[in-house]
Amino acid sequence: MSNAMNKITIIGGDEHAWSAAARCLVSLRGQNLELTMIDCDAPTTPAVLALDLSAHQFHQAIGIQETSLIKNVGGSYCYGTQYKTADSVFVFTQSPVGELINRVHFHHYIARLKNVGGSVDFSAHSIAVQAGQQNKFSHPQANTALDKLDYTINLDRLRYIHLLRSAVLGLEAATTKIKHLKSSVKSVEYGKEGIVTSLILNSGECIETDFVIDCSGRLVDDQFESWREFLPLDKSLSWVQESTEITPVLNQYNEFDHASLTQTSLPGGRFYRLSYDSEYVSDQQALGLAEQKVGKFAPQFSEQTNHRAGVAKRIWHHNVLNIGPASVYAGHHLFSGLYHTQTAMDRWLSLFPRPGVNAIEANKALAAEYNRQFHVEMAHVRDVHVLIGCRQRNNYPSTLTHRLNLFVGTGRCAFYESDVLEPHQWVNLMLGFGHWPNKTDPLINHLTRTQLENLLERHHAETEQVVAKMPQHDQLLQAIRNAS
Amino acid sequence: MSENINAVRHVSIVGGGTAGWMTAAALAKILEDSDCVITLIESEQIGTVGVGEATLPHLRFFNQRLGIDEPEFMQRVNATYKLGIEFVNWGQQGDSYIHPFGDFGSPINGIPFHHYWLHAHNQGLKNPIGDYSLPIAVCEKNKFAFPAQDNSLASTYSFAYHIDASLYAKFLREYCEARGVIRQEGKVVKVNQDTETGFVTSVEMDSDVTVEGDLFIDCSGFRGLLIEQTLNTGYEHWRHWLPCDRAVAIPCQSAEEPVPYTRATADKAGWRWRIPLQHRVGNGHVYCSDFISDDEAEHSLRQGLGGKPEAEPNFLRFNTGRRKQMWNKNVVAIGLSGGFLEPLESTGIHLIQLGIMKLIEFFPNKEMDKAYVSEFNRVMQMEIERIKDFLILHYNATERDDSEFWNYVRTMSLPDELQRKIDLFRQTGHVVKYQEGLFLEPSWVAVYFGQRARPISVDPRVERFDLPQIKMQLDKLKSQIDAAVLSMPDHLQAIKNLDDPTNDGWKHASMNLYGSH
Repeated sequence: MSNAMNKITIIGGDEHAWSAAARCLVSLRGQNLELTMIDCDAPTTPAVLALDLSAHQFHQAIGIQETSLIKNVGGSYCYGTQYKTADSVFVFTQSPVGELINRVHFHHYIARLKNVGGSVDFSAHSIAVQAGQQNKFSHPQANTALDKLDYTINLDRLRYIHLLRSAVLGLEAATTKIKHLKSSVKSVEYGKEGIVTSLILNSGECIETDFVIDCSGRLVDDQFESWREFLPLDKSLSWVQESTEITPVLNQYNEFDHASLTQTSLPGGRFYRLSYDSEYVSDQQALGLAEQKVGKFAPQFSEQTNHRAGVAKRIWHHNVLNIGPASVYAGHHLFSGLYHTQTAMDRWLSLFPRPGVNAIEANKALAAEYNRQFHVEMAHVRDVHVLIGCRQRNNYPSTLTHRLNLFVGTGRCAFYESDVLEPHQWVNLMLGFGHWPNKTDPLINHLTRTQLENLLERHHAETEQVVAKMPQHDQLLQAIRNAS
Repeated sequence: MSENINAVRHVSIVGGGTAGWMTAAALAKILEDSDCVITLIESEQIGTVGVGEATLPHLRFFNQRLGIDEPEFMQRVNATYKLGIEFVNWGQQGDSYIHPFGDFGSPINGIPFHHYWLHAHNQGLKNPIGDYSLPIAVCEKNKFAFPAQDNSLASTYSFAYHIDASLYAKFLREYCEARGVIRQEGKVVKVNQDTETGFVTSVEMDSDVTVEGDLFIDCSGFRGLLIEQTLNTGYEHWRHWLPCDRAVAIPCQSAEEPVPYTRATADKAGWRWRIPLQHRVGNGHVYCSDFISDDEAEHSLRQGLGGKPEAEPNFLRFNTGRRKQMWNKNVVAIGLSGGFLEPLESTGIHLIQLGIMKLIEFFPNKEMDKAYVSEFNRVMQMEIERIKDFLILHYNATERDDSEFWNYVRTMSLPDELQRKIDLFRQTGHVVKYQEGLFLEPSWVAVYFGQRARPISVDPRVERFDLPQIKMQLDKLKSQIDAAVLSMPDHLQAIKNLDDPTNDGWKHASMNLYGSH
């Protein structure tokens, strides 16, 4: 007889809720799972989601192929984001730029050339960036120059939710019961030591539960660690416009005083989000800024939203796990909210609790460990966003200060446990925002400017040759959509 | 032609031994195309500690980087292979388990193997968890084969060596001198510092030779001639958690074929090591002087020797802990000068290697940029503290109450991080993992279960399986392990096979660590 917790309730109707449901169904196969979806707050507002490669395995497990994301969810491929700020223009790409040469990382050669007075362009050596700027795209190909390419998929949020919901509801099997309720939570009944025992819905139904995954923010812990001192943009205006132009492979990020504008693209449309600091920019001014920056402001849809940057102190509390924007928000830059949901669910499944009052102490220990790991990871997420969105200030978190000092002083990337970016991604970001190493690997200090220029010129030419053979992004998307 | 006027042109290493010569060899290799001069100062009159003869799998990477061939290395340092450590009498007198360089089973449905085993064990399964680890089975049968590079069962372990550390130092000395490292014989009698920066500028020797340097590596051992006696860096003591403060070592003749594992036998107030080499056996007794005298320690060690002693007892005193900064100004402490942890998990040479690798990674210019120094110190501190916690676990996770020493370590307060890990394991069976670090999940599993730490509960998802279901899977795995072991040569034969130049199996051995992929 299993003591496994099998009555799991998920509150919410957005991508976080359905993604959490899908992960439960995949990972808890054969556990006599009784999953109740309280489908409330299903979003009606368009948005673009970005999914990274880590989602592939989970998609496959629930029967969603990448081609169907392109074909049925209006997806497009993305190699990175072009950042434009007052003092930098560069492309951040998930893919490595250059490679190890004689055991020395590529960026040391670039930095060395810069330090001896040469002219450098880091992006010129990135296949992903060069391809992105020419609107080309290719999947990674093993044992070729393309083998380390990394990418994300931009998706129409509403269509993706629909696809996930269909996949989840189609997964019901002999050992899994799924109850899908279009309702919302009216009240919560608690048992011993604050354990949620049942949820009373507006429909009057009472749902008994062993564990609640709350994606609605209703049960979120009121203890919150604010990051506003680092990440002050607390409101956003988002809108969608039609477009007949080609589908870019690069997202756009433009920074202004107390505001930033991001643009992500899908075939036939552009999604914009203007984030701003309400202390300095009024809603009316934001609207004016949007019109000014986009040129023709003719949205199919627009929405204003409040945000608070920070993280809930207890993500897992008693038998409730909070997932989604109410539990953590750092901005809309590198990590989609879905990224956090994926890691949150993976972590929860690795620390799987047991039901009942007899397991209270054990579950407290698991929750404490979960919250500790979560906060370690979120500190890195915060640092990434601070580097992107808070560069005028000097009060960086100490971890970010150390990371920048080390990089500028040595060209090395600090190692931190549970980091959220690969070292080469940190390098890309730090160089892009002007944090150039003033010292480089001593192993290449003997190289002269001419030697470095020749080496990098050759590398650039090879990069161009590879990119020249890559297909156009829209052609590839069209081919996938046309395939039977 | 170098353009960098601030480049380090002269590295001076104070102290030979394993730490000094490993450092010199690695720098000689990495700087072979530069004009940097490497000088090593050592004195024949100052003995080396030379008890760190058991190693970890990481040493394979070090040798590989230097371009050292396995057969030559094995022959030159009289090495045997090592697949783990047998711990005797730790959980309770009469207990024994092996901490292997490898996995126990593999996760099923994302749930670690040990939960399945524990659930079966709670229902009456008699087999210990070690029955489901290939390297443990190989140890028990005294066999050896190189791990495979594929993802098969044969790839689920790694290996290290038992070596004669003094022969390894000698071997590396030849390697270094062939690559231009200058050896200066003599004792350091004076250290000169820059009056403004405090940097060490030169050391004067009893031979009247003065050795200058831009960067000094302190391999002078416990005393820390440069890092402590000159720079007063400070030391963090851990004796309240790891109370052993002395050791006595006596090598003896081999009375039996060497086994492919180290043995660590818990004693009244410490533990005894046994390290089988090709030509002899290294023995030692690590003990706490608060609870046992030197004579008692020596007597206990002699009682356990398996062969005729080959030398007089060598007594050592040590302070367990770490230097507050392993890199201070232009001095980097590598080896015992940087910190000491008893050799319970054979981490001595590993910490030397780690210090060298980090020094190479953050190889400085003459200014010794603070960013290099702080990152080196941060990473080294993290590593040594993690090892410290794992060692403390061996003492604390015990039921022994037969001596004052064991009563103390069993009931002492623990570092917060370790206490948190142990509490979580006891409550849930969950092992807190590091993303990177020396001891991964199988190591913690080995010590927890080997020393009778039993969780109150297991992952609830495995409870839907009854004993016959799990046992069928476990029996299948055990059969595969038994078959794999059967096909392996005896350990000694595997060493002899290296003499055959056509036998190049070592070239195809997997380089994974601890078998975890």
